[in-house]
Amino acid sequence: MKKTFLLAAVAALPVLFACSKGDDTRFEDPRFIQYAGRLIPTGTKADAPEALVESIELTESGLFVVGTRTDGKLTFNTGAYSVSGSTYTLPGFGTIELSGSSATVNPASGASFTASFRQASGANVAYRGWSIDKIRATVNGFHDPVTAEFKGCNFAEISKFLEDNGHKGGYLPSGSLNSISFTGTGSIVFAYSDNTADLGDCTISGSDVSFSWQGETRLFELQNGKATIEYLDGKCILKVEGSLKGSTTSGTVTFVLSPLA
Amino acid sequence: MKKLLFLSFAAALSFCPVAGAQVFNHLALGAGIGTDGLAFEVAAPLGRHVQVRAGYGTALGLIGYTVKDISVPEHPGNSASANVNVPLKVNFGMSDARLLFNIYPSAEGGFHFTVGAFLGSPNVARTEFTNMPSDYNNVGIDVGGYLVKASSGTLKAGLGGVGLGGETFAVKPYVGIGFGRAIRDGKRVSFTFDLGAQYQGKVSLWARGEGVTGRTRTVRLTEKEFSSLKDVDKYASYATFWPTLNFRVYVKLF
Repeated sequence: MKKTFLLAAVAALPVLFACSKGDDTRFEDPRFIQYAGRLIPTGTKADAPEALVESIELTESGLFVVGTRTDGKLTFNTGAYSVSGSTYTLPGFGTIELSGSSATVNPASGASFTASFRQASGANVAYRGWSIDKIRATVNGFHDPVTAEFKGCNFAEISKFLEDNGHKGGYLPSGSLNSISFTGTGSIVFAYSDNTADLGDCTISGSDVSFSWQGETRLFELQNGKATIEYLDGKCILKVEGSLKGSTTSGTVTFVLSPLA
Repeated sequence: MKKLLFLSFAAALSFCPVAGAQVFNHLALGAGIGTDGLAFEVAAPLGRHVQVRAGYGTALGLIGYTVKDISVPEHPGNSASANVNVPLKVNFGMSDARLLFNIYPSAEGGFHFTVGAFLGSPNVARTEFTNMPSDYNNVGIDVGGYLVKASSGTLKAGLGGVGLGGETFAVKPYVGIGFGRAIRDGKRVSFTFDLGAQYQGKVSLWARGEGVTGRTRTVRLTEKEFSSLKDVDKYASYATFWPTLNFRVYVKLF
């Protein structure tokens, strides 16, 4: 019996040592990984020149982002897309018929137009949508650095907190930040609860993330356009240095993210 | 200090069994109460002049005090906001393991010196701010990625040092005197009394911090993270040597 116990204990040793290794967070592939990509119109939308579609981003987790320029101002709207065969349905926008590297875009209102399609590469585990579990912000400029933590990213809650603590209010948008996406086409998307978004060009190299927003952003003024990304305990930790738009106070915001399917 | 500890153990060992002496031929279970908490021990003889004691004690919080005139701004970043009274409860007591040697100059008498160490948690006192405003459930002190903040209006912290121990594991050498033997010839029950001091080194505030993913860890709050702690450091230096007083009763098993 003692011999059996000893053998069992010796057999368990590799398991024990295996458990002592560092974090080995793994994520399943997102559901829309094979459909993700970016469309760039190849023509002009002659019947509505004041509202030109500049790009359509189809993310790996089923979020679409339509970039539209109106009166010179670039804005982004989002929603969840579905795919049936070669047809993409973008609720509130229209449909896309895909054919290889080209596509026909059929807006719900207005004329159809053609676009080129570049499929996303799935070379990085970050390329997907991530929901916001919580944020942790460390703000400089006080006697001691102040760190505050909030569940999710509800701007009304954060705004009240900032105003209560002596900051001028009004520089946070309404609603909440619902998700952050990185795409295999080199984009970063901040999607808000009112179906609008900020979209930027993004490069991920190891744990370093470089990005720059396209157009006017709603949330962050970046100090240096740098962030870091790491994976821990089944979460993605995105750390961004910057300042809130309209505020002179700088700091670091850490987003704790869970993978979207 | 390490040299002193080494010399103490060397002294204990020098009294240890000589050829033919009875070692571990008796065993007693003990329970005690004192400034080191409620403790349970086992004790055994190492010859006529040394008895070894090992056990665990936990804080009872029977000795404590509430500081009532402490207040904080309702909003931590806004000194102009209304002050809110946050009573501070302080309870003394330790929760740790101990390994101690009673050294008896006389082969029969009860007077003894004790050397050894207390091992485990650094805390000798626990503090608790209560009635904290709701902002303090969001705001905290970041210590190496672990955030120390209030939970449901209560902010808990401990006061203590690690002695010769590591980052958060305390090894506190102990030297003291006492009366009584844990194991006495011909007696089933015996009583002892001890008075001494533990070396706990630089005393700091300790608290439970939470990492971004929810992992928790006990962290030391220093002036680096929170400049107001320099006042705590000033007074905490008086507690480098922590007095320990306890009474115990032992029952000899065999």
